[in-house]
Amino acid sequence: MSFNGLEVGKRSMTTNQQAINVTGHNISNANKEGYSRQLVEMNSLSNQHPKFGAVGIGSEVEQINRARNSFIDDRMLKEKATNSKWEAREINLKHMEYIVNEPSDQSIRRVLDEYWEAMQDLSQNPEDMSTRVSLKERSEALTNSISSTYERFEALRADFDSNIEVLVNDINSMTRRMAEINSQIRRVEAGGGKANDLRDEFDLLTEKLSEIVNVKIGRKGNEYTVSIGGRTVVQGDFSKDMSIRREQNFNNGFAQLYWNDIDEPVLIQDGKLKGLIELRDEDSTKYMKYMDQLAIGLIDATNDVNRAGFDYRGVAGGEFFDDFETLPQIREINDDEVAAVFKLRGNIAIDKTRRPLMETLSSEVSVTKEDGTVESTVSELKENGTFEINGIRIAYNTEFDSMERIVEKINQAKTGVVASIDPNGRMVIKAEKEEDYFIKSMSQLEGTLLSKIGLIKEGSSFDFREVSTLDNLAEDRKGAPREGAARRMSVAISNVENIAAARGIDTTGDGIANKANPVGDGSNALLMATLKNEKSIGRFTYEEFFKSVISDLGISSQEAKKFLENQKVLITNLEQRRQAEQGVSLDEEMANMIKYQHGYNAAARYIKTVDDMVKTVIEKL
Amino acid sequence: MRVTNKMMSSNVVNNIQNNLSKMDKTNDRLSKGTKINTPQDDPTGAVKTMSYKTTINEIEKFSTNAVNAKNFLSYTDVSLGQISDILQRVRELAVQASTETYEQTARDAIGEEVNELIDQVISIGNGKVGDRFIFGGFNTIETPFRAIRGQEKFENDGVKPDLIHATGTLREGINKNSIVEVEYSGDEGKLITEVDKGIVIEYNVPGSDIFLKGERNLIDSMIRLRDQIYMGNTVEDIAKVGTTVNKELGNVDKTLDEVMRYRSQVGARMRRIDQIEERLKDNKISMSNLLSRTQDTDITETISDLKVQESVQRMSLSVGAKVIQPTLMDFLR
Repeated sequence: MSFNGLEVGKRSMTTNQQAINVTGHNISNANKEGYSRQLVEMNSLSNQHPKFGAVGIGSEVEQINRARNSFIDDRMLKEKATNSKWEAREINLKHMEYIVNEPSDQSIRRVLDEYWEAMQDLSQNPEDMSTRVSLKERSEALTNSISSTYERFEALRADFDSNIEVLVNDINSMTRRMAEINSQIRRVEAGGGKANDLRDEFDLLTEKLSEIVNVKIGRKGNEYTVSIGGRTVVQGDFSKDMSIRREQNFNNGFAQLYWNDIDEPVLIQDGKLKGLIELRDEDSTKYMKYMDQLAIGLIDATNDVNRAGFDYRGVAGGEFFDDFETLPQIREINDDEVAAVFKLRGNIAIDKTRRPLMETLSSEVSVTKEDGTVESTVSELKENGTFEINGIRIAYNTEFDSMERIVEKINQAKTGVVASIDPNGRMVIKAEKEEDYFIKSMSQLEGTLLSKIGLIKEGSSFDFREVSTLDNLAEDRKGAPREGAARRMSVAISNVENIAAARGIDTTGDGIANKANPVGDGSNALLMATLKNEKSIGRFTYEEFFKSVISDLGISSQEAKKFLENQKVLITNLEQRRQAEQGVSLDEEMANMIKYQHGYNAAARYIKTVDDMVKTVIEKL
Repeated sequence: MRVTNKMMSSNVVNNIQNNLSKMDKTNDRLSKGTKINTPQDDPTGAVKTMSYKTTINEIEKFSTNAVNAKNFLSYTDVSLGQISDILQRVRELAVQASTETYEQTARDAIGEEVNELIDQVISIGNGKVGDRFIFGGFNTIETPFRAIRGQEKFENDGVKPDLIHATGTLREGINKNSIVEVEYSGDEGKLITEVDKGIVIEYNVPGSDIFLKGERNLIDSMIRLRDQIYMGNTVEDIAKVGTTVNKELGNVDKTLDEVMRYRSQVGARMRRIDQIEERLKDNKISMSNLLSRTQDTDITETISDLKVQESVQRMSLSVGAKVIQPTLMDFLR
């Protein structure tokens, strides 16, 4: 007889006591975010007996583990990042939809429709001042509507930028806190124990971080490593900060993310941060550019028509909308000097429907010889010809093609320029938005059509990389519009009499009207009104333009919504699987509690029995 | 799979949330009456809705344009009708006046009436629709026709308002107060308007075309006829060079034909506009139908959807109540 039995009983009681403490801990943390249930790992102890070998001497708590599945955790980090990216996109694209406010009756399209209506009214009552005033008001409503939409997108873009800055601060404070926890875990676990609650906290922080940016986590021994975009940011008790840099001439001075220590940009692939950067640099910028495109198309086309007409007093018309600011025709792009011409106008008026062109454009060329005699030859347009714009060849036949047909050919060839005939019968070529509003090249390969209509000098060509060839182009040209044309859009007409509703007649024979028709003529206003159905916005008519903008926005917003819905399902699923693993089941804990309670009670009973046995030895023997 | 309390409660919350958001969407559709409220709801539908709306606005504008043009044309038509009535009357009068046995005084009375009719023609020529003169071409704000009377002509050009009667007597100052010339301040401008996409129509007839075109024009013919009546030139005499009442009557007949020709032209244009208007009306109806089909909520379907969603929601709630029911604790006593 020894006191070994008492020792066994004592250990049993302690073990059960500890187990019941863990149960209590589980119950009290059942609803804590990111908590993983803890499990008691018990160990049975034994002594070496000379005769029986190992003899059990009771139990002890080996360690307390957490129920956690790192595979699900890793999946979760990835999906959470994607989820929050789409969440940011969904909310903000929805917001953009509210800005454009389609298909309601308070949209730019509606205001534009009203503007066309007022223009039609003017064409019917050009002599009526109140019609003119109401057109001016409608035009002002239109410019306000376009510029305020632009400004709203711009403000939204600035909001994204300041949000990005806030998120970067969040990331830095999170990684610092993670480094701290990491070192605490190491200290605690150096003693051989497990820092379960600290690890829970770390895991929770990683998850929160993954909502902002794509994070990878590495688990090595008793230490975590965290990396963002392939770069380790938390290792041991060190963390690396990122910072914001702004350069005035780069991306509108918006925040760029840099690593503090190595001075390299941060690679951001996912998360809310990625969502916001996309929204800032792609989506909102895109819609601002759309607004610019609308303003530029509208200003340019309307002004051309207004200038070709005559106002109430019979004076030639001027600007209807204030013309947009242009960039210089020679400017530097990536350290190279290039020629940037947005718009080019020929100087010969042609009847656009007349065929064959050959006769219309044949001209007499007089050459004065050395001896003073003048010899004149008729310069005829060859029947077949080819010219090239922006590298795309266009063939024509002067026998069958009218000017209208050639314009159509240029537009169908998708050269990146849009050709048209202005109200005075001269050909106009404008570069499209996709070409950054400048014409890249132009030359005549065969025949001389382009020089006949005065777009380019005969026997020469134009290449934007060679600034000197700029002189080969027609004199009447314009540089590319400066960004923000939509914001600055305004009505130039201050006196409503200056709206050029009337057309005129050509008395000098140069194809350009110089004598105004009387005030009852509204045909120029009608021309401005029918711009509605012309391809004045690049290749598009207004209707096509709005359709493409809205379907673009609608589709990206719908895509965001669908992705988000899918992502939500995925995350709910993962969360379920994770809860199945790590969640606290109260029923289970209750059962455990009873189990450990009975264990404890039984151990106590055992001690009592051993005690009785000792008593027997002491008292009865 | 282990099932924990948190799982069950979060499941219930998720489901209730999902149901509520669906119900919210359905309610929104019902209360707004439209199923496409942002482009996201249906990008293609939204784009279609926009284009239908724009087309409807456009059709409405074209319709008002057509109505205005028709007003103008029908006023022109009425005016031309009045003019042809006048010309008929002039014809009758001329026939009377050409009767050789008539006394010159009786002829003078007829001449007076023709004079009145010339005045009337000019006042018809100066007719207006709203504030616009209909026969001025592009010049719609100035009175197109200005009558110059004998006295004024004399003061300006020194041409005396006298006539020599067939019998050789000088009738001094007989045209002093009658119209001897008409000045046209309009032009030949054709007013145009758009009545359907790409269809531009002219809706006026310039006054110069009707009243003053050519050598033997309407007003001049009437003036010459009147003068012949005053001069009593009724006898057809081949030897005698010059005109007679009968010859001028022939010219008036020709101008009457001209007026009728213009009138039928105006009528044809009105019929064309009528047809276009009819088509616009049809288009508007079909566009409105399409718009309604694209954007409007199908009430029956949506309400039945809502009912289904409501019962699902009720079930979720009752499941929720059960989830938070007994645990092992309730039985450990």
